[in-house]
Amino acid sequence: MNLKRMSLLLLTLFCVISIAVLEFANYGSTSNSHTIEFFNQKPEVTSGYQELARLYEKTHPNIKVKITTVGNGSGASALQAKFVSGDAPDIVMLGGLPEIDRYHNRLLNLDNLPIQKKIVPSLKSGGRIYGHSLGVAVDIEGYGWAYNKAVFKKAGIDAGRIKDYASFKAAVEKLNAQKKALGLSGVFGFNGADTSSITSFSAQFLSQSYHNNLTKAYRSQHLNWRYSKRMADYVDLVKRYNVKPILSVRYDASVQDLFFHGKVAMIPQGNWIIPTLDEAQKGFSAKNLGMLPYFVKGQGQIMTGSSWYLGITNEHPQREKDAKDFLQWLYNSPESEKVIVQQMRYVPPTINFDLNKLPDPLSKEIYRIGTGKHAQVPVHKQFPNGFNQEAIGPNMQRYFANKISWQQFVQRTESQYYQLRQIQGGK
Amino acid sequence: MFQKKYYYWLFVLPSLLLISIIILIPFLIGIYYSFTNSNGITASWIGLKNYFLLFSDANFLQSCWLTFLFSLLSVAGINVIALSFALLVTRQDNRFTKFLRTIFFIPNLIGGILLGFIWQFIFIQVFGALGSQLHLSFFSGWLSTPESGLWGLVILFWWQMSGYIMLIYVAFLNAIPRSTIESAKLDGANEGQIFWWIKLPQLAPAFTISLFLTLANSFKLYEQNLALTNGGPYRSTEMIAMNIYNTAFVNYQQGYAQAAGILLFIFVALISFGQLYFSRKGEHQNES
Repeated sequence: MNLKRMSLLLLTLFCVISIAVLEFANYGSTSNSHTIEFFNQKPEVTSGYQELARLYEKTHPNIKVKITTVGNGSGASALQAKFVSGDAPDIVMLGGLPEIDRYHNRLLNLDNLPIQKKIVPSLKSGGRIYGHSLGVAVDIEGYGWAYNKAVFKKAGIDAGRIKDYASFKAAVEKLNAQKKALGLSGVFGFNGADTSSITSFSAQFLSQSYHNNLTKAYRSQHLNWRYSKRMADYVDLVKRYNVKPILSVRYDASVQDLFFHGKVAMIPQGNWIIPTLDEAQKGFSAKNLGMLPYFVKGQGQIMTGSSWYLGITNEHPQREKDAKDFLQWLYNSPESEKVIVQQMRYVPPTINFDLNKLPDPLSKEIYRIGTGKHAQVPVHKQFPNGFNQEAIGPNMQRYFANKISWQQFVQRTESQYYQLRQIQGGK
Repeated sequence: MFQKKYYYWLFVLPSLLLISIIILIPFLIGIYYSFTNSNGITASWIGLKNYFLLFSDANFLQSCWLTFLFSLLSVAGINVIALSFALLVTRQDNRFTKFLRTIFFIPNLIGGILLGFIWQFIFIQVFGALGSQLHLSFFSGWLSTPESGLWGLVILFWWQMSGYIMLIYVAFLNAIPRSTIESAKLDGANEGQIFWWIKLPQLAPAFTISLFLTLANSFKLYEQNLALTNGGPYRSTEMIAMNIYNTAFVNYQQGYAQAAGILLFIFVALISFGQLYFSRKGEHQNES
């Protein structure tokens, strides 16, 4: 045991560690280029955003864009960890006003961002809170019944003729009558196992009374169940004609197997399924994918909204301008547009977009409706945190499994909505 | 004398420092947060309110009961299966038994999330196809009812842990002196008698380790739960770890979730210590 040698060894160790730490701390600040970090919560489009970052770096040699992707339910916790540890990203993708409100002190006011003038008006309130715009809509998503055109054609159903609930119901019954001949496992492939699909489905009946004012929807203390009767009609139709058991049907299987292979005629999804379908077979969505609206009051129309909003954090003043420039480029340049529309298959959330540039008829239809006068935005992203997983999802599943009545479903969701708002809104 | 003390601390210091930073300090901060209404961003002191609320929270209690049930089923099942496996692969020492050992152990090398998805495929697609081909209602609708959801989780966990626990039993079985078994044989003992009276008593320490490992693991189960059922249908298979995670990161009631976490800790610690105490006591009695 030689104390001297021992101390020398320890001293060396400390030196090595401290040098490493200092090196690490210096990393990034020595060069004069800036790195902006983009926090993405949509894993399915990661490669698209990486491509965009690469394109931007090419034309802006001093800027590096780092894409961080955490999604599928753990995005929220990862983002919080980033904020709390002081390592906040520069641009963050946030889902709905509950999340924007949560970080509103850390987000820049984007009222004067030039691209705001180009954003579709119905999408703006989804990023507005405390009188300011803190987030910019990412895209336009269409919500309705995605239907397989080939199946409809074989069954002799003209989707253009479905104009109200009665004709929708008639079409469903017609499909069911030819189930064997069409090779269907069920008319619907409703993925009852996923609470998120149940929630977006419910938004078809809960959004009307807010007239596209998502801030108002976020502030509301009660669910508006005015159209619960119509929702019950749809739910009972699904329950009767769905692939069974409905609680075993999951999102991936419903899109990639049931819908893609024509084993079901309809699934309650939007245009976000396009990349998956086209990856499985090129041109599938252009040929086979159509969308039907829900008929809630009078003439039905596909709902259009944006699930995600981009905000800029105020933690790094030296990089604010870079982040704003990047956003500006993202929404404005021909290069980014190409990746966004053709690779990521987004429908752009900006006005005066040339329809011919959109690669498939469904995207065109969604853009036309979303930018039209009667656009209707769904409100499910403004529900209280946890309402989806803990209240409406499980209760709908209980209804599907005949554990509760429709009356109980309405009462429970209403009271849990109120409770969650009380707990979370208490500032 | 002084030098010896000095060395002691010098060697302990690095790990002590790391343990404090990574485990001890966060744990203490966690205890503090369990007395606040933290939402992850702001927090104010509310005393014991979280703990009182927890005891009347039906969802939390339901999760506790489910976790308890799951632990019971998995601890019993895993140890029986693992011991049978161990006896099987130690009967003879040849290539085949070595091959079997590998096969039994492999599930343990697959991560929890992957395992969950594999078994989801088996329970839904494979079982579904079997059910429709053979017209057996037993195979259809797995994971769509609370009971089949729970059994799905239990089966998955059996499959994952048995191979690992088997290794522990194998190690202890191999350590049993051959002479005791041989002398029992000479005395005319049959296979069953050798197992009950020779092997089993000498496996007592293995039971302690295995029971402790399976119990602790089943209380902390999360990924498998997430990937296989994600708590469904209607939150009936939401185990305690998942309940805590969802309360913290879906509802953002982080002080409340922290209190639930502390309760879970106390519970697991009590069970573990209790079990260790009784198992040790049992071992000593056997030895004497």
